[in-house]
Amino acid sequence: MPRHPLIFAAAAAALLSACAQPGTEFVASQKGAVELRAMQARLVPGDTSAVMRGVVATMHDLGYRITKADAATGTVSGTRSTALRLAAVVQPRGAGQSVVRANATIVSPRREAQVDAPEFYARNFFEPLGATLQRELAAVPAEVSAPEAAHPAAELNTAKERRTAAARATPMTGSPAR
Amino acid sequence: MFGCSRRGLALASVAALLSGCGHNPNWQNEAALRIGAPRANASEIRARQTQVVDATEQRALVEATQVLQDLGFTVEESAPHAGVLAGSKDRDATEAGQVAAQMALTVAAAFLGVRHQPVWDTDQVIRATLTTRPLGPRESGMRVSFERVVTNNQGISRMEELTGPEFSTGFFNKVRSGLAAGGG
Repeated sequence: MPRHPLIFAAAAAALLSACAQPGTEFVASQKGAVELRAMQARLVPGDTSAVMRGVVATMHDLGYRITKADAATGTVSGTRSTALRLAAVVQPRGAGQSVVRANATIVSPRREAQVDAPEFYARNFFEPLGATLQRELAAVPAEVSAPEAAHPAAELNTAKERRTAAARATPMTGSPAR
Repeated sequence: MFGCSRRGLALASVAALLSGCGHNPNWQNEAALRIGAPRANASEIRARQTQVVDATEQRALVEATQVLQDLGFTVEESAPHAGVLAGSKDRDATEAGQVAAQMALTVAAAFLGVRHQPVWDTDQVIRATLTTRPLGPRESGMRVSFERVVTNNQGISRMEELTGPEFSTGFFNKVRSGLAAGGG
């Protein structure tokens, strides 16, 4: 357990804000690390692979478009409507158990804000996940480590966003024409 | 395949919530609770979007990738170990009739001394999300969903779910044909 939750919360917020899209202000939660962890993480019976597939199926069922899925890191990211983004990280915990940590953000034209309502994570993610897996999910005990919250991947939906991303991805080669 | 009947989903209330974000300190949680709520007809949508194919999960994903590409999609995410495939394709959404109507409205409003900001759709992205799960040695469950994200000339986007059976059924028919041609 972190000795200084506020320092960890500040570090996590800095990490998360570093991933926000350029030109978008990232508004991190003001709640403490322990409080965020309690609402965002659950202990789930099942190995990582089965739980990750459960997360994918749940997000698809809830209407998220899956934007990223990485079995190596156990991370799944999706977007619902055009404004809600959710990333879930699945981490192994002993034999036949996993820890799932979810992190959601809402995007408005100029801001991306971290969702920090416990009822959002409970009702809109963990309850459906438990129903999909047909398992009882439990709070993560203090002595059990939970993954860090992952920043949800951004979808590029407008022509402008795509042009900007393409320009950023194209390496500049050669010397300027005279 | 994508030009005909589709069920539009207006999300004006979401836009209203997001536009009010400067005044309400809890705007992001209220928006997330509304946008992220479980769908009442989730099982109905799931049933429409899911089919069983006679192929291993790996083979089914390879064929689904091929079908998406044949339909003009660019595959943006492929994670076979998680049973995930996602792709998108861009289309110009500008319709001459919509632009003309908006310009006419702007002129008419100006005559009445009212300012009207003309709004029309400029571009759209159609997105496909496909998830699979193994059901047996040569049997896989496959779910596909299609959505359209339309952006207007003010840079505001809206999403429409393409939930009509013709979208998923057409896709699965192509996957089955491909599997049959390739020997499953």
